[in-house]
Amino acid sequence: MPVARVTSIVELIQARMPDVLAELRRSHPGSLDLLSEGLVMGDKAMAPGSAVYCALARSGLQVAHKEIADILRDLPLRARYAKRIRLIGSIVAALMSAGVVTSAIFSTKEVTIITALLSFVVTVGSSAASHLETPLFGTNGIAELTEECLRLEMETQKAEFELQYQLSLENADCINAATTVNDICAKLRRLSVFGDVNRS
Amino acid sequence: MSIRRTKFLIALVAVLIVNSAYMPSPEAGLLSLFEKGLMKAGEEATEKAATSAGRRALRTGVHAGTFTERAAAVAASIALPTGALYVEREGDRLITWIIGKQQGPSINLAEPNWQSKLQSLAVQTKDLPAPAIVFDYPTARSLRSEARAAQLLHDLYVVDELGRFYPLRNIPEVGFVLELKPSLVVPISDPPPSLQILSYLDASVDTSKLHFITTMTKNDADSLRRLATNAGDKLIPLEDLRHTGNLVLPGTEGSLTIFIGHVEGDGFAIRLPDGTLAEKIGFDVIEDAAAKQQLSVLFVGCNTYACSGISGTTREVRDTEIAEALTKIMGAQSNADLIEQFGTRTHPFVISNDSLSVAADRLQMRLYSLPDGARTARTGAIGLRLSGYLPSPADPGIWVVFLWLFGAGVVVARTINYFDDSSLRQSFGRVYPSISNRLVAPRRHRLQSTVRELVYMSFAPLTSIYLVFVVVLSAFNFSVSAWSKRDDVMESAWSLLIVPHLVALGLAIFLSDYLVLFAPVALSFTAIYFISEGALLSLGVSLCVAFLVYMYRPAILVELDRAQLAGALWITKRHNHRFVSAAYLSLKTLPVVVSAGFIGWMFVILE
Repeated sequence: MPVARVTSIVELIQARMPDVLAELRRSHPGSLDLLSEGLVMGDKAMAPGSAVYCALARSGLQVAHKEIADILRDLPLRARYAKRIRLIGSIVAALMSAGVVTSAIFSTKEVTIITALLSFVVTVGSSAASHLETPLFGTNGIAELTEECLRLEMETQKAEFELQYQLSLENADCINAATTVNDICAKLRRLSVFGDVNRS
Repeated sequence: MSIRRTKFLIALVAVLIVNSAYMPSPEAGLLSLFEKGLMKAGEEATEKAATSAGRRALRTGVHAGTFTERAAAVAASIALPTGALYVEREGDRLITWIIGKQQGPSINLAEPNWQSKLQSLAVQTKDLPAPAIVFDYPTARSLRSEARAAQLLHDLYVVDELGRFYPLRNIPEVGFVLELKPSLVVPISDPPPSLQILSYLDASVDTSKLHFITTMTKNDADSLRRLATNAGDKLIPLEDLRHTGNLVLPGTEGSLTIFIGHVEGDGFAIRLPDGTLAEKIGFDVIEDAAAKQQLSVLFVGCNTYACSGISGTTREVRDTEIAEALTKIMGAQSNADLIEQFGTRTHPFVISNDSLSVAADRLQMRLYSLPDGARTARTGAIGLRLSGYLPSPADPGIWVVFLWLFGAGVVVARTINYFDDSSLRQSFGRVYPSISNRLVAPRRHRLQSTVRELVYMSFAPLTSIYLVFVVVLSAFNFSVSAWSKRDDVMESAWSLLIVPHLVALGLAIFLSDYLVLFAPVALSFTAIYFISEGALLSLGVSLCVAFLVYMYRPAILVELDRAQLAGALWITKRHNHRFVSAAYLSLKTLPVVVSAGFIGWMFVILE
């Protein structure tokens, strides 16, 4: 049987909504160990079926929803910035070509310097645009990141159904739901910490 | 020869003379990193001689024929206070000796309450706030199998065959342990720590030979980030090490590699966020890789001592605690301080001879091999010094001199690397130990590593020249060859870039001490000259004074230092340790400040 983990839920809540985590700690004073930041680096037995898992799964889903929404809002914004920089870059490049012609005709030192400077600005602008379009790690562009977020959104919905179903049962066992939510939260934290998305 | 070049040569000769006349005293060179390195060598040599003499006496005592002689030797060697109890086991009996009194009664281990009887023998006196019991090593070792030994409540100690003392503690997870540091212990089931291990633990941390590996992956994003932020580029994720399928640990022979990860059973487990096991790497696999590469490894995770049976923690740990320990590790003074950070007072970190033997042996081998290149280095150094006097074919402007120095430095650096391929780079690594981790801040990492490399390439030749300079001086002056302490010397040279103010202060103290030594010679010359007006006589007298000063220079500097400290205490009335320190440093640098003022005043008068 897989070992249930909730560390990523705790980390995500702590990073995005520390108040929610503080509230969880207040309402479950017996599970402070579980609700602390950091991974326990050993094989620790967990008390199954505890109410704290249900609460964690619920709060985790709530924060995950918000996180995904934030990232999805942020990504098109970045795409728009990148596009704008590219447009400006191409306009300047067009102007520059005119500068090169002038420089060739009059062979003035000033025009040559200005042309070279503009060329430099265009190169920098193009690099900035590329940077905005790609994340820090991996080869995924904005489109792939958006796709990943949408997939996570779908997984969140599924996890929500699972949690609701578990909560409707008399002996609610939220371990499975908490594990699924932990997986979603881990992916979100990975995007945040190493993906240069909505970085914290 | 141009005036500039002549000035340069005069300055060089002057600096050589100034340095040649100097012999550091224990306290005088407190702040000069250069002196510190050389001083440490001297202190170590003295300490070694003293302790070996003391231990020899104790060893003779410990191996003496009778129990009484052994007890007396133990009591004398560490000045055990009256009332303490020395205990040895003989069959099923414990024989006792009450320090300052006489032989105590023997206690039968078969008795149900033998531990209470033993405890009642150790007496509380005014010298001894808490009663203490000292066991010899075999006795302490045999007692671990006695059920009631855990109930011994007094301050317990062990003396081993080499006459070294350790506090003895009982830790539930391990049993009886020798306490090396409050959070660092050796189980008594192991042989006592070897001399190599002890000197390795005492040695300063060689960060160039320290590496951290973590089994955390990007799925444990926050944990990995915390560790990477605090360990900098010293931390390498395990997944980066196995491109070829085999485990290849980072670091050269004799390095210390600390494995950090989630422990399950007999190895590190890598679990996915949904809890499924992705991979497991056994402690034995890591140890095999370490043995093949001649490295030492320590395991850090939950209860790694119990799981690996070799070394490790005795408690449950979180990555947050380890990340915090990593920040402290970067400033650790010795290897013992470093390893201790992974333990706590109640749950110490356990090490054994086996866990550190490779790193300790390599350190010893390196220390033994240090003087090997000394003669060649010295010859080369003197040659280089002489070549400095040869006229340069090009325009001898200051830039040419610098370029010449740099070029010569490159040659020297290459020569040093030929004799000891790790010293130059490692000393640099220790001073500039860590930069941002590639995972956390890749751009900053690239920038910092480029800058670091540039600094290294620019200054390594100059550092090498500095080393040669000090080696040449040490050939004339110091009891210990600077070549054998080249790591410390080069470290101080690298430190010039980071703490110039401290080095400047050290230099000021250095010059002040020299001025004090020089003052009697100059005064005697002037006085005799004015009295007798005989140049020859005054020269002879001042030479005698110079000889006396040279003979007694360490004593003079020690006395001077005592006087300066007393003066600082008197001036500040011990008001605040910062004031005392400031006054002390001011008094130490006073001669050089006064001389500078005097020279300035002379210039004004002459103009």
